[in-house]
This record gives sequence, structure tokens and C-alpha cells, in this order.
Amino acid sequence: MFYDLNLPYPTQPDMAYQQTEFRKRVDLLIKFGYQVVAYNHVISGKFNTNKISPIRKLDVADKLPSGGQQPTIEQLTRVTVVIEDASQNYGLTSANSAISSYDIVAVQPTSEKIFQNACGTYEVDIISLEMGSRLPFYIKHGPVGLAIERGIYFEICYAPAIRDAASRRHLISNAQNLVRVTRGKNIIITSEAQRAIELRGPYDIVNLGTIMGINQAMAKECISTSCRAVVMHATTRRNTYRAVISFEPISSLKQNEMWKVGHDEKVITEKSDFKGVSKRVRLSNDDNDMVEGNEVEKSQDMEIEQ
Amino acid sequence: MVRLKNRWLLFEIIFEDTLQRRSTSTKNVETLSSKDVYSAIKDSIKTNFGDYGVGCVAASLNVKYFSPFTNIGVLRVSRDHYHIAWGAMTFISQIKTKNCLLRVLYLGATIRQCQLSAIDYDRDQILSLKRQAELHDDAESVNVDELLEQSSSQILAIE
Repeated sequence: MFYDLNLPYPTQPDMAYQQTEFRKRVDLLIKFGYQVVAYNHVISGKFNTNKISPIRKLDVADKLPSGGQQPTIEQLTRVTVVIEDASQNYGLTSANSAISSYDIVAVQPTSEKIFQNACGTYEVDIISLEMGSRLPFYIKHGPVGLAIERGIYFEICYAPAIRDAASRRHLISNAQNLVRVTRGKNIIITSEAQRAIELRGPYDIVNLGTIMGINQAMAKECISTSCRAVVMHATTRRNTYRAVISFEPISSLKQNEMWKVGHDEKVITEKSDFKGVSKRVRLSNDDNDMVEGNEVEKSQDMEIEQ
Repeated sequence: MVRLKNRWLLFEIIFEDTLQRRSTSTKNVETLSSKDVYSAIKDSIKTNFGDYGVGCVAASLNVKYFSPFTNIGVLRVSRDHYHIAWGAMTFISQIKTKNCLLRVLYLGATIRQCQLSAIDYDRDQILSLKRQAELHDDAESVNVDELLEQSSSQILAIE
């Protein structure tokens, strides 16, 4: 499964030519075999609560040509906050409701101080550095190690390298630095393609990664499993209470998971009336309760309903 | 004496102006030849990897086949330096005057497997062309079997 977690969303999505260009890019990603794409919206300045995600997802399924199963693509939303002033409060906390209107949150630090903060304290999923130009600071081991420990990923965007030669040099140099500091861990490679022609196929990117000094297996991870880790990190940040418990509506259960709510029909109907908070992620009691499983489950259900 | 080992890259060229209307790829006004593709790749190696890169691959680099009809081609390069050629292909954004991108479909150690996957790809392309033609009710419906036969015999003719 291949991911592209940075496809710039058009700045004026209502204009026709921007819309068709955007459509073209998504179609090409599907053709290349990507299965997840994240539309990126860049914000500079304070992240107010009124800056709710403007991203509208495309209707991908309607492009099906008759016959044959067309692969589709999963669409996510992402915000990148450009941070220029370390002292200012950018409102990057989970209390900010506008943040949770996006699936993935990234920051783009512009100075060393902010980079350290981003690695150590900010509640984000991705740290994005503008690698197409000269970085204003060195990437150091200390903060990077902290970020890796916290499960934050660093991003390399390859489109600037395809756009022109000067940024290609900068990108290769910066990317090699980053790879050296992180030892190839916690890196994702994304496109940031303004035009469809700047996109590349997944295996072309893997080869590009080997040029930047990542080995082939790790380069493949950069566009697959690492990106998945980012998405999981983001959902954990958004949908859980302290990354321990999450709630899901009972209607989201699949048929073969229905046993989790118990066999009593009555309980099920009652519970679905009680919409929203119904299924509880069970944490500890698994094996030793197998015999009296049903009773235990029911009693737990009762607890929740009270 | 150690045998010279090669890598065979099956690649596809996607043009910017045909992204929207895929069926028009047959109506390219000026079609590319394998020579054009070869020189584009070589130029890209020169700009991205310099004289050293050109020197590494010059002896083995060769575009064995390029079909302007389905826009796929086969490139041979020595095994030790294939990532140079591939990287250079990734950085290409223009051939002659047309904006395009190159995408590697298959990387193989023998030409045989490359040919097989080229035939597979051609078949998919031709079938999707046919489907599109049917959708638009084109009277001159393409003779699929003939095209298939033609392309596969051409591909198998590569030595």
C-alpha cells in the first residue's frame, strides 16, 4: 500500500482550471497505484479556532469506466502550520477544535529554536522542512532523537527536485543530512506536486531514496509503512482519550464482530438507541474470562449505560 | 572472465497533454523515436550525475525498443549502475519540446521477463483503448487481436 501524504490543495478550489489540474493529479496517483492521499492545506500565522478545514474530498468513484474494477483511493486531509515565531502561541493543542477538523497535522519550523520545540513538545504528526532551499539551521541529533521517541515523522518532498536543478541540489544535500541524523528512521517521502507532471511512481521514488542514501527496503518503508504509522499516530491523537481508550458507534461494527456486544437482541437495540458512545475497547480481560465471557460483557455494557 | 550482467528496465512515458484524454495517445503529432528517448536519458544523466555518471553507464546504456503507439520502451543498462540510469529517468520532465514523465514499470535481470511484462502491459493498454472506443461509439473500432499480435511479435523481436 503506497501513500502520498502531501498533495497541495488548490488555493482557490472554485476556479475551474485549478479544479481540473487537481483532478488530474489525483487521477495520476490512482493510475500509479497509490492507495492513500492526503490533501495539504498550508496555514501561516496563528491557528484560530475558526480556521476549519476548507478541503472538500473528491468523488473518486464516479469516474469508473464501465466494466472492470477501478482502484480507488482513500482521501485524508492535512494541515501544515508554518511557524515563524517561537514565542507566539499557535494554538496547536488538542483543545483547538479547528485542529481536529484535519486528519493529519504538520508543522514547518523556520528556525532552530522552533525546530527544537517542534521535536520536543508540539502535538503534531509530521515535521516538514523546506528542503528545496538552504535550511537556516543544522539538523541536530538531540531534538531529532526526541522526535523519533515521540513517534513524530520527518518529511522529504521530492517535487522541488523535479522542478529545477538548484532545488535538486539542496534537496539531495538536506535529505542526506536528515538521513544521517535519523539513521533512516522516521522519514516519510511525499510529493508536494503542484502539477501532475511532477508526480512519480512509487518505485521511482524508492530508487530516488537510494540516491539520497536510504537503503532500498527503508526507502520503500518511507512511502508505505512509515506513512501508515503517521496516519495511525494522527488518529490516536485525535480520537482517543490519552491514547488509551476510544469510542465507536455500534453501527460501525462488522457482522463478524457483533459478538463483542453480546447475544441479547434487546441489549443491542437499547444500545443503538443510545447513540454514539456504546462500544468500549476492552483492555485487559481477554483469555481467562472466556468461559463466562457473555456475562462479563453484559455487565460491562450495563456499566457503560449507566 | 566474468560475464557482464545487465538490468532491463521497462518504462512508460506519460505526456502532460494526454493525461486527461488517454485515448488520444495515438494521435501524437510528432512521435518520438527510440533515439530521442536515448538522448533524453543520456542528457539527464549528464546533468544529474555528470561526466562520472555518463562514463559509468555509457558502455551499456541502450534503448532496445520504444513503441510510440503505447509509449513504452525497454532500456538496457549494466547491473552495477542501473540506479544512476533510473534516477536520471526520474528527473526527466521534458523530451524534445513536450512535457512528460517517465515511470519504470518493470525491472528485470533478463530480457525475457521484461518482454513478457511488456506484452502484458500492452494488452492492458490496448484493451482499455478498445473499451474507451466502445464508450464513445467510435465507428472505426480497433481490431484488437491484430494489434495484440503485432505488438507482441514486435516485442519478442528484441534481441
